[in-house]
Amino acid sequence: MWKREGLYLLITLLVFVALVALVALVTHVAGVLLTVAESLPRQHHKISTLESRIIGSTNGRKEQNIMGRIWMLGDNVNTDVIIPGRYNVTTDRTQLARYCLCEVLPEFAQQVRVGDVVIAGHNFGCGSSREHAPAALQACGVQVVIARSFARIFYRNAVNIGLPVLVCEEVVAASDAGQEMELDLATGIIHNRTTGQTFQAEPLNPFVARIVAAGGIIEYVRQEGALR
Amino acid sequence: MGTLTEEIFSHKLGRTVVQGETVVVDVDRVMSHDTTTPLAIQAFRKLTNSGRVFNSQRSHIVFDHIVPAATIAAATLHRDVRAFAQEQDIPILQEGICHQVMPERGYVTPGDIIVGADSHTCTYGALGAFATGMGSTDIGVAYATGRAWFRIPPTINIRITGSLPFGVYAKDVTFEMVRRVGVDGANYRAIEYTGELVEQMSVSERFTFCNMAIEMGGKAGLVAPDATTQAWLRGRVDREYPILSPYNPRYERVVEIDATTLSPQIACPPDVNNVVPVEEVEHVRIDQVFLGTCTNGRLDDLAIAANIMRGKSLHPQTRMVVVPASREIYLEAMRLGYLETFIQAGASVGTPGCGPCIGRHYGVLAPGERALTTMNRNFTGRMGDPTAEIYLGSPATAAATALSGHITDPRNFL
Repeated sequence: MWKREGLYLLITLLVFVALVALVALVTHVAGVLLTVAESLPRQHHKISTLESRIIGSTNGRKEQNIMGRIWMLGDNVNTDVIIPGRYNVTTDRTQLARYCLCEVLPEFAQQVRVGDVVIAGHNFGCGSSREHAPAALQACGVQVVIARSFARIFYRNAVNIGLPVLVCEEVVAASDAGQEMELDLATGIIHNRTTGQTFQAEPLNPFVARIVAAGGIIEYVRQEGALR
Repeated sequence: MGTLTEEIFSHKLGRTVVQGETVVVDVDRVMSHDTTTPLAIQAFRKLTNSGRVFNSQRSHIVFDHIVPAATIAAATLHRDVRAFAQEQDIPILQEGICHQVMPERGYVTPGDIIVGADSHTCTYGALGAFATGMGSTDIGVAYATGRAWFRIPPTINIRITGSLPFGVYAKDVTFEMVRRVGVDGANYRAIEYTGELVEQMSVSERFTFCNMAIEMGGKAGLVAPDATTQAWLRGRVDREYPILSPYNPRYERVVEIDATTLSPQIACPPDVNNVVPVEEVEHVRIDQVFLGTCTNGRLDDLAIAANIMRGKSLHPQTRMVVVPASREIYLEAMRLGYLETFIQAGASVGTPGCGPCIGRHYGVLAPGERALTTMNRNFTGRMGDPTAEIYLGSPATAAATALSGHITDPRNFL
């Protein structure tokens, strides 16, 4: 008799211990995951979100839009101004974000919010080939840069790292800083929510469109198996 | 049949390419420097399974932007790049500015297609190569695959007639080009320099032209190879190379410049097309003169400045930094007594490399200070404090300014 009770007791005890261990394990794993998630630099999260948006939009998922506040810049904003040479001796994107546009918009790095949009004039990103420039904007949370025109190397760099860049003359003329903007990346349709106006961005070169659809050149080469 | 750019790509691909089409080609060389290599390594690591660069003999890493390391951050990046280079059997070249060292070492030949993680990679076009600057990710992909994609650009032809007047140099002509074409007038385009002045010019002067193609947004700047090119390559290159020339080219636009009409020019801050004749800004006080860079740090540039400064002293309120573009130039300038002239005059002579051009190193400017330099860019904050101003001029203008303490017409000293 006592043997049977003892057995029940033992089983109950074992089940209890197993449950406690399971709860502890789950809590631990969740804790580790949270820690990992928190320790990831901000932009990693954003890049993956952006990639899924771009890929999503090409898959026809209509809810994948960009929405944010507008920051306005003028013509010939060079990469020395986007991220000065004295602050780009690093690959740490949060460091880059801290000094982004500090020469022309000192309040930008502090006040920019994830999802914001940069609109600029002619020849945006001229000068040095430093990829730190689009990386700094991306690390700040900027979702898209729209300009009258882009300097060639900046444009390539942005496309390569998955920062969308669009050319649209009309939206530059008709936008003001602080307005709310919405963009459908798949169609290039830009909607100013503050003024109610709608614009159409220029279509991408087909090769560039393939890189953008892949989420950057690394992903493009991975998908294709080679650069071709 | 086509522009020099089209001829180079057609030769490489074995078929006729035309402007506007997008091509993927095997590149001849891939280059990056101490500041752009770290991000290129990140891209490379994400991509490659084998973990090896496409060809360690055709991959080049040059330390020039912050040498010797100025900060712990720079030293740490250098250490990481050195480890990568060692792992990949790529020798690190620490003997001057990448755009001087690559041609000097014989890594650039006519007809080559070269990509580099620096915007002034276009300099190599002076030897008839198609060379263009890209960002680190493109270069990481090129290190891994040996390939890059290009849209074949339309070409602007800058045709320069006449000869250089007294006191006017290649740099002054280059400013006239930027003034005429604008800072983005050549965006997405190649520039081909032709005309009797170009034919008469040395390779060093052609380097100055091609170096500043990017200051007009140019994807590449090219001079068709000729006897001058071949003479310069002799002793540096022992392999065969094609001599390609434009053949019935269809240029998008021709810009004609008569060099005979030019005077010394200054590019005023903060954009390179802000060009005026030197007379208009002669009153401007200058705190620091910088002679060097991939635009004007070669032996002929140092010779021009040394000839003006020999036996003289800097203006007491003006300091001067001289940085030869490479070790080869440094040694030659030492043998010829140029460095002694600069040092006797009171200038600091720095280690071959980019020097103060990028404000990360020495020769940094304080708030409100003004510099006259032989650099290619006068952007806000480039050399230090954002309220400092950078004026650009020829090596002769730089030397004359260093002696008088304000922007000075070099013709007064010649």
